[in-house]
Amino acid sequence: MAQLYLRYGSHAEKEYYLKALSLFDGMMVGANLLEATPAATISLLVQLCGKKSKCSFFIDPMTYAFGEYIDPASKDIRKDLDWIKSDQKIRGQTVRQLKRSYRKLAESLGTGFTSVYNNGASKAVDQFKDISSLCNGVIEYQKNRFNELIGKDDELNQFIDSLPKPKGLLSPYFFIHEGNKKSLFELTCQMAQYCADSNLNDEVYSVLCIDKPLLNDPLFDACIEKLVTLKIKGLWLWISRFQEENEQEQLLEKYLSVANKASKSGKQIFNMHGGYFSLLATHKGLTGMSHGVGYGEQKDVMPVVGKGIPTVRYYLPPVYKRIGIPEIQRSFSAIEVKSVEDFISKICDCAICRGILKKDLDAFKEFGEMYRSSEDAKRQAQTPAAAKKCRYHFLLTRAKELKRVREVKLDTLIEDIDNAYASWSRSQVMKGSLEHIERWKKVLSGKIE
Amino acid sequence: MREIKKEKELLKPIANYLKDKGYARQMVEACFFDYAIDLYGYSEKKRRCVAIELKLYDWKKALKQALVYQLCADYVYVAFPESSLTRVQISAFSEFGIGFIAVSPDRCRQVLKAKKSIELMSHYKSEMIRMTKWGD
Repeated sequence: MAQLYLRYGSHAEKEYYLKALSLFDGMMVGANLLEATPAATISLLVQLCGKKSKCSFFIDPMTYAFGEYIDPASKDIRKDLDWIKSDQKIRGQTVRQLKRSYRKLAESLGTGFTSVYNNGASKAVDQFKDISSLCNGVIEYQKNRFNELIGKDDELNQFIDSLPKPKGLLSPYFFIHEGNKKSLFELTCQMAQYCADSNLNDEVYSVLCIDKPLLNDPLFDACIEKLVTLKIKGLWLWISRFQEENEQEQLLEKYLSVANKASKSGKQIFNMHGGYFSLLATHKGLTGMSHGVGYGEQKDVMPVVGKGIPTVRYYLPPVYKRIGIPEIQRSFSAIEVKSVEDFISKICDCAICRGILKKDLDAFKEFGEMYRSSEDAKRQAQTPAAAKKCRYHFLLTRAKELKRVREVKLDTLIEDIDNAYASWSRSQVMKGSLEHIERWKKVLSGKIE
Repeated sequence: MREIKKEKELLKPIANYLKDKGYARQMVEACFFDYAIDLYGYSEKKRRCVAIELKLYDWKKALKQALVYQLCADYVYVAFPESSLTRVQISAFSEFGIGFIAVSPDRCRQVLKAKKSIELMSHYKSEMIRMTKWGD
């Protein structure tokens, strides 16, 4: 049965989790967030994933953050860890050093972790000498960090008897790209093997974090071949820059074939940042996925900074894609949406949409409301209220999609997307926005080798 | 005749052309959701709005934008340099009631008259008129 975990980005998202997490299987929390805000994170996990809850959670150890990375602008390989640093005032002087949360995380991941990172820079992979110590530190962190943090905090002591345990333990992982692929694919397998062999009573997952082109690399295939023979429960796949809506058929087929291979070997396989195609892929072997609330259905390993707050666009359920409000409204005539009833039957019947459209069909614009955040702002930005409505609508829609994917056969789901294409392609303004549907249909209808 | 090579060179001739047609109140780069409508004009006398998309080459993109602008303007036009007109499939615009204007540095020529938008949402039109700070 398809599984879906929401990835907790920050405590600003807390209300979405309180209201909607129960619709899903659980959540994934970054270890950096746990270090930055231990009390808030632990109390939330106790509340949402505690012993009485059916929701579970994973802790992402975020080890990749301490490895080398590719500068998004220059494309250079960098080891300076600058993206997890900030300017800090120390004794009156400005010093650029690791952000507090990452510094605490590095310290908490054990002494073995110093073989990865030291003096503010990541080391070369061939300097990772003590794999056992590195793995032990990362696994112990996920097993025991809550207890350590609670022991230091009187307020947190109230949770000592109700602490939930992670559903599984993730082995350390680093970003694998063309420049380091040979050594890192090997290292990933070694780390997964060590973690699995030394934690036989726990469910251990390997994490494969790769640059998109490596999906076609023979070394990636060899790594998968090796991983599925290990005593791991499964693996989490993070394909940086992989966008389900935009990828060509060959790459989507490759993605499905990897899922199929893992599943046939009896291993679970998750996409760490997936969308609706990944939900469909659960009928081809994928176990599940995670994504954020607004929406994080794909993620580059290195965040692109300096582009302002992104607009949370309305997720258009019939086409499984985020589309602008005016484009949707301009399509109403083509798909014959003339009333609120038409909207509810043809576009979305979630509680958020029903609530907003209670007034009239024109109220649909509320999902896209814009404002100037300051008098001198050059561009308009989405209002926080509109972003919130879009997020809730998305979560309710995704929960409905998850339920349907679990309940019906793939043929029926393919019929769904086929019907959507037939209907929405009548809108001229949607032309060019529906190509993913044709690709998905073709790939999912094919036989996976 | 001098050729128009930059999109902004289309603006002045079009703005003058609209003024001559009675659209005295004009706004450059009028915000409509994520879009910035190149020129939005309003005629108080006729109580009509017009939206213009300026383009040098990509008429297909212009068509898509113009279709969206039909939600907030009575009439929508795409303006293209006169010299590039042969590259454009005018029939694609007529199918949706979008007008077309050919622009030279010294004059504008209406190639295709826009039809009144049947997609207009009156609240958008009112908001555009109300929210826009009108220039001269």
